[in-house]
Amino acid sequence: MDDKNPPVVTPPSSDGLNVPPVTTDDKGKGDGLPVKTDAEKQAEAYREQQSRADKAESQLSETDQRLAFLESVAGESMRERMTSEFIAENKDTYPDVTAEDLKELVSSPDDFERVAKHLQKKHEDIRQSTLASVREVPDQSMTEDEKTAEKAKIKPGPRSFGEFLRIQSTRTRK
Amino acid sequence: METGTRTTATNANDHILDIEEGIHYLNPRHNGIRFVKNLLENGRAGKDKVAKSYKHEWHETSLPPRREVVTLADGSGTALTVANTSVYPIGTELRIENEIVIVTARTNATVLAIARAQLGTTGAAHTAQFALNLGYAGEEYGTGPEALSTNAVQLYNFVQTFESAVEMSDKEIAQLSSEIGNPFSAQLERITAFFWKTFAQSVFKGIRGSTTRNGRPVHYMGGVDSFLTTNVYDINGAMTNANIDTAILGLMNAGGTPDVIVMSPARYLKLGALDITYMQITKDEDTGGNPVYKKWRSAASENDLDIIVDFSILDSELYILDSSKLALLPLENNGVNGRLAIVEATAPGASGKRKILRGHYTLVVELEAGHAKLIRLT
Repeated sequence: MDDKNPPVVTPPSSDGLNVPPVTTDDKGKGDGLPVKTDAEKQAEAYREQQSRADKAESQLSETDQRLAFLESVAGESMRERMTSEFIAENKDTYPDVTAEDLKELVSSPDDFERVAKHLQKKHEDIRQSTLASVREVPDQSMTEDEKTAEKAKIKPGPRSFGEFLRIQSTRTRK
Repeated sequence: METGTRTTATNANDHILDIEEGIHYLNPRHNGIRFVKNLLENGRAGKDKVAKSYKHEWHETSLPPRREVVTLADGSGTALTVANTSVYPIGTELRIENEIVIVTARTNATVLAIARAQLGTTGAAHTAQFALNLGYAGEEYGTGPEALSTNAVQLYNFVQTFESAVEMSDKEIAQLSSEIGNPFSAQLERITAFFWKTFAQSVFKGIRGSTTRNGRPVHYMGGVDSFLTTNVYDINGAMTNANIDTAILGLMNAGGTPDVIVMSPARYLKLGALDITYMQITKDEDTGGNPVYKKWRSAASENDLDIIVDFSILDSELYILDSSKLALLPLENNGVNGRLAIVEATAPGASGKRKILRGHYTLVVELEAGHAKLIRLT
């Protein structure tokens, strides 16, 4: 710090009388060197100590961060390994559950089973729902046998030829 | 399409939709389409029943008559005069009244050599009596009768390419599968019905021949008229039950089973005026794919004959046919199906509207003597 106005220090007075203030302005004094008072020395020591403390604290924090990072990497690696092992061991039970799903959702090793079961059920529900909706949509194609059966149902009348054309032009499914 | 010298009937690129089967779902009444349906069914009977080239050939072998009127002047003469000896294999057994004779040789085209008084019977004179063909008595483990080939003749008919233009785009054809009562199906139905009606006229009146147009061969399918020559009865007078019965008897004797009687609408009116004792007309039932025809029952046969009334037939004539001996065969050339189908036309082609109904067919008349025709009826 580069103070232009040095602080005014009032030395302690034993008799309680006021004496002229002593400044730290050393101009006009003996060898020209500043003469540090005890107070100044104490203050300087205090600042240095404070500075060292700050520095140590900073280093400690940095170490903590590094340690946390290392812990996190190790944890991630372990989770991946455990996830892979779980998937491999249970691929028959939970065929639709992926490692990505589990990594996202599992927070502790005890959760694997519960989360996998839940995910598999969701997959099943979606599959059944999709199948149901597919079944509801009429399939326009017909096999040759189905065409023959449909033609046999045609009743004579003004629309019989048109009905024949409709069946005949329907895509044939193998 | 149809560029270059293609030998196939059509190809996979221009083939769009088979509609031959649609003939069963048309609703024709009293016209040749119904008859054509029968003949197409005969052509469908087996996969081998297809034409393999534009000139379709087959062997025609007349069957021996089931019975023939003969005369033997005494009980020992060994010459028997018949209509055609080639249909009697050596060894054929004939019964004339109470005498059995056996054919030993064919002397010439009309005279058989026979052994008299066979199998314990006695030779006797026979005047205008039926010689009933009892067949060939084969020897056990013998060589069988001689091969019969002298009477077999090679016949042929041309496969004709029948075509009719249609004005439908691919999109319109695609719509057929999505809508019942589609307006395009009605258009197609009219054109298809017209196609089969004109086709029916070729089935009866087509004259076999071929020519060249634009450097390419054009074939004409011969109709029933072209093949029917043996049993043509020139009536030159009014139609009677007796006329018809005589023809039916002749056909049955030749090995045929007459089952269809075909005539014009005007002739149908006259048929209705014949003695009702001999006529039974049943109600025509409209059953779509399997129509029950009006039937006519001759006094000469216990089989009812389906009545087909069509404008193809002249008012002065009447056909009595064995429809089981007639077939319409599609061309199966190089693996390409010649049955009636919608195919691509020339420009505008695949993306445009113009299409063609095309089928390649030939008529086969088997057992020519099993069909008859009455002409100059009044």
